[in-house]
Amino acid sequence: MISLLDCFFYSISSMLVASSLAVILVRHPVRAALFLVLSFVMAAMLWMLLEAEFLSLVLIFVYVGAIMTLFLFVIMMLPAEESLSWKKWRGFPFALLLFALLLSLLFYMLKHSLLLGASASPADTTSTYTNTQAIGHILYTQYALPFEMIGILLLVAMVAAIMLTFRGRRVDAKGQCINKQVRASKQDQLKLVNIPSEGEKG
Amino acid sequence: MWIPEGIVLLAAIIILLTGLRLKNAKLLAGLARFSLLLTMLATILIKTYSWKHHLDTLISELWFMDHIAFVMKLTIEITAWFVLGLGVHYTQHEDIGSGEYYALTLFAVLGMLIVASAAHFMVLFVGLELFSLAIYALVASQCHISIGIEAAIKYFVTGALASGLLLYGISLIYGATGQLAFVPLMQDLGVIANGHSLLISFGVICILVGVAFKLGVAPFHMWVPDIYEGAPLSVMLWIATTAKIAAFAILVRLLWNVLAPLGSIWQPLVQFLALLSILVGNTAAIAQSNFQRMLAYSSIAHMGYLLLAVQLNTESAWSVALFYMLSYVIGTLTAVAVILLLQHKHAHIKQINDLCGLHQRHPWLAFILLLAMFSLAGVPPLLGFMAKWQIVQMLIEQQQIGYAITAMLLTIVGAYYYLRIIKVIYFDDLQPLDPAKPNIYPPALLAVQPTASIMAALCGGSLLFLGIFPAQLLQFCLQVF
Repeated sequence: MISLLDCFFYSISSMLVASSLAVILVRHPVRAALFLVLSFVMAAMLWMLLEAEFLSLVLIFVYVGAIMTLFLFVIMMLPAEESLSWKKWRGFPFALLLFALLLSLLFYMLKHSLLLGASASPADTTSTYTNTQAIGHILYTQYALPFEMIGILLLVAMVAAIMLTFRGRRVDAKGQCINKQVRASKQDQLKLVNIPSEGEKG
Repeated sequence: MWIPEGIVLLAAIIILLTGLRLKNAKLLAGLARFSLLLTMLATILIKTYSWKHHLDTLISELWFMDHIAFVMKLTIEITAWFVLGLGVHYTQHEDIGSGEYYALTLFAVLGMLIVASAAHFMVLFVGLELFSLAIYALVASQCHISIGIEAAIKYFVTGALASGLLLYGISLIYGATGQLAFVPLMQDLGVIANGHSLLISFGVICILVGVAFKLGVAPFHMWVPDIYEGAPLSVMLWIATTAKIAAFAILVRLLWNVLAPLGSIWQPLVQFLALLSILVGNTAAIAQSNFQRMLAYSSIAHMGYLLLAVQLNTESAWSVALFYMLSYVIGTLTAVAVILLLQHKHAHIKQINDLCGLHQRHPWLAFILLLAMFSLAGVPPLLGFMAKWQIVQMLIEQQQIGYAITAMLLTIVGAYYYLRIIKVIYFDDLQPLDPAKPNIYPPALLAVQPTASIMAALCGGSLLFLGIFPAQLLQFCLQVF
């Protein structure tokens, strides 16, 4: 018996797999990025099926809304190169071998029903909590320490990014000095020179 | 409980802010080192306090306060203090000693301290990322030199891959057991140790690969030589000593505090990693002409010996591994300290041949370098010999005579490249750098640096002293686990 939930699950996950494949198979980088957006949205929908609505929305806000938008800007600014030709890809046999190995490993694990046997299904909860409240509660009590550490981590990332990109003020940089402009008087700027007119010469 | 970490964080932020105006690298480094001294003091005080009042070694499932945490923290702080002190002149000279540089080093120390007492996967991973991120940026601190940028990008990409694998392994274990905190997880794993599923063993393998990347053991070593060569010397010293201790702390936490019941899964893998690292490190180092690349391969080989002790997975074996780690760190610190002292503005020492005739110019520095090389090679009566001897003794006690013989044979191979440096220092003649300027020789002092010289001498002396009287240190290591 296939329930409606199963229908949703299989259609969403097949679209997720298809769009993820498209990310690496499509030649044009902008389209690849758009397919990545699609796969993020599909993953978010999968999470929604698991009743993890907060994570699902965060995925859309952060990845689709912020990161991928930035990514698209960067890709659009770079000159589009058609460098992804199959002929140049020398490592293909090795990659195929690795792929086959990993796939067989995956099927081996599936056969032993280790992943499917312990499939996660949302527990039937009748609590008054919502998911977001629960995450917030655990984040600021039990996991307050790692949460603070992530704050420091972000600070480090910011400092490092500034250190690597800031090269100091250039010597020949042009800029206004407002003070100097305001303080300027006629005497500094204007010089009166007596030039005899041509008529007087003669 | 978090006083040492708090001091480091506070100092990092103060240095970051004062570094905006203050451009004096010496003063900033002094501030950083002073804060590290305070941190050491705080670590010791907290340890004695909690020992006296019999406080719990575990705080809210997130934070260990045990002997391992104490020892790891103290060694990280002391080596960081030495690394900063030795690198002051170099950073000033290379113009990388800005406020951000010292702030990032302190942030890296903070990450390492967090890792050392992590009792939860979340804390461990965030600490690991904290110190990795700071070191990626430090490698690229000479952003006008392309080799430095190349090294930083390689380090960043491989490091990100390693973190991803580690995280994947953690998620698999979490999926199988539903536990993230180390203490309950270890109990659970002890119960299911015999009938463990493939999911768990897959997770263990992923975790092991991630840690092996961080530790730089073969076959996950490809990044090590490039980063050692490309990074500024002071940062390279940082990666070779303090970061290695932190990686060892991660190894202890993961393999000893979590995955010890699953030894049957990871012990054969660690044996393979150990033997391959010893083989690759010792043979590839022979072909190197660059001093930093040679040290990189040497570190790979040393991590192999360390893992040879780790794979035994007994309390005394872990203690011996700690002892070996200390001997490696002191030896490397001494060797790089001498090279740091010798950087001259006309001549960077990059190649081994740049050290020709060092004995004639600076006999004391030559002697200190000789001690370091003999110790790393494992020549009695130095500390490196005692460490190798302990490992071999442990292997023979556990009936792993084949491993002991292989390790010792490869040590003889490895002795070649250490002895070659000694030959270059003592038996080769001085060669002028440039035929046009016959009075400038490569091994020249950067500047007279009394403190750094004393520190280098202290490291070299401790190699000799601890080699002759190792009992105290060994006893100390045995009490940790």
